[in-house]
Amino acid sequence: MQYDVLLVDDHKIMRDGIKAILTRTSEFHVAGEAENGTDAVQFVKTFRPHLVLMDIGLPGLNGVETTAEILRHQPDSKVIILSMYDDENSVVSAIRSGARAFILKKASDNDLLEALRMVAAGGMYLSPQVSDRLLTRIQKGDMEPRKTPAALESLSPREVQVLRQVAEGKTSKEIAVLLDLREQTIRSYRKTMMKKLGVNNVAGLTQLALSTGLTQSGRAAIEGD
Amino acid sequence: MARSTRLRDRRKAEGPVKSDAEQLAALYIKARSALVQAGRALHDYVGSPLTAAGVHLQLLRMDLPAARVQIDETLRILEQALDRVRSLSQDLCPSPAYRGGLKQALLLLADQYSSSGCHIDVDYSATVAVPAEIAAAVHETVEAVVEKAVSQGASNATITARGGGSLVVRITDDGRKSAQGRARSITATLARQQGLKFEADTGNGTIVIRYAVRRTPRG
Repeated sequence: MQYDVLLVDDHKIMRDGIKAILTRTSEFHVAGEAENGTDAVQFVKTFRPHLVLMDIGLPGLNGVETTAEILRHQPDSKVIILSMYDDENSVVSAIRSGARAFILKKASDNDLLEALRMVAAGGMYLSPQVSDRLLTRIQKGDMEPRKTPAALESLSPREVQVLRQVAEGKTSKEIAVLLDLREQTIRSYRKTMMKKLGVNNVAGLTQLALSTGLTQSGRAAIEGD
Repeated sequence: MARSTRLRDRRKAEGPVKSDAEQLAALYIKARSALVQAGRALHDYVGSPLTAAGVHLQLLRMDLPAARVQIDETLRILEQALDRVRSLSQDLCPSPAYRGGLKQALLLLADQYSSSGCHIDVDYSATVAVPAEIAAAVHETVEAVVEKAVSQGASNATITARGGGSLVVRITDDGRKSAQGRARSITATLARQQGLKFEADTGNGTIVIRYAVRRTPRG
């Protein structure tokens, strides 16, 4: 089976290059080209190509917005985002908009064809450079959703805010100014938190905040106010 | 009498007098716009042709297997140059709104704040097409408003974006400061300098950012 592909890039030189790579295979046929998002949406609505190879940085409606718009009209469209950037924001935005693959423009011809094959077969694909970076982050634990640690679940959101400031070494007076509360209210929050968390002093609060990862920048300045 | 009339006429012709803060904000926006333009030009006029050159080199590699080693080395050098262009271009245009649009940029903002204890709901149903620089300005303004709200004790915020003919973004939070105070802040001044309307909805502490799409007259 030969898959129809729509190429979307505002740079003709880029479209020509990719077209040349695709025409060397018998699997893909360049069914059309578009240089902006609006034309791409129109093309997909009319011709329903199997795959859309989309530049992320289009003028006007950008690649991510165009992807969302295409999927709004043709939910079964398979969009592959091509990007010069490999930052996490770009990757997350693209996948969130419904793209099935994110590949870097610097990817080799083999990566590009691999991504097209994978998506055509119903799968998803990330450029090795992108997936390597994400995997490294997962290994380090950076990608785990940061929830309120169990030990702090008994605290109200406001108490968590006060605790974070306490752990960063701020005095009740400083916290009061920062949160626009009375100093006496902050003292009261401290007492309530100590009771809830079963600690006896500010050092205990600070230690708990640090151990639960609520703050990493604690100066642990334990003032006796 | 005649002199005061002349003075009044001259002031009228010059338009409203800008405050120092407004003048500074205007200068800042102008300087930053120049940097953003440079970043985008770097991407469009240097990055894209270099990337295309890489694609064409890959094609050449297929056609000339004997020259594979030399072509790979050229590709490696090209890649180093592209990495620098990419990094510089990203530094000059840091807003995620440039690459993913306003909706995705606001969703990313909510993600970032969820890890710092402030829950943000984003309800985006605007259908108006917003130019990239306006999307970046709105995102920056919303980010500044949320940052301020969090520093003043907000633990929940809602961002809604509506509009088909013009964009209306509302930010509501449970912080303590009145929206009126925030409306007078430097954020409001910067927003206005970028063509946005920045208002405080009295009573419920909501910030409203508006952008009216300019329509070019027909004919």
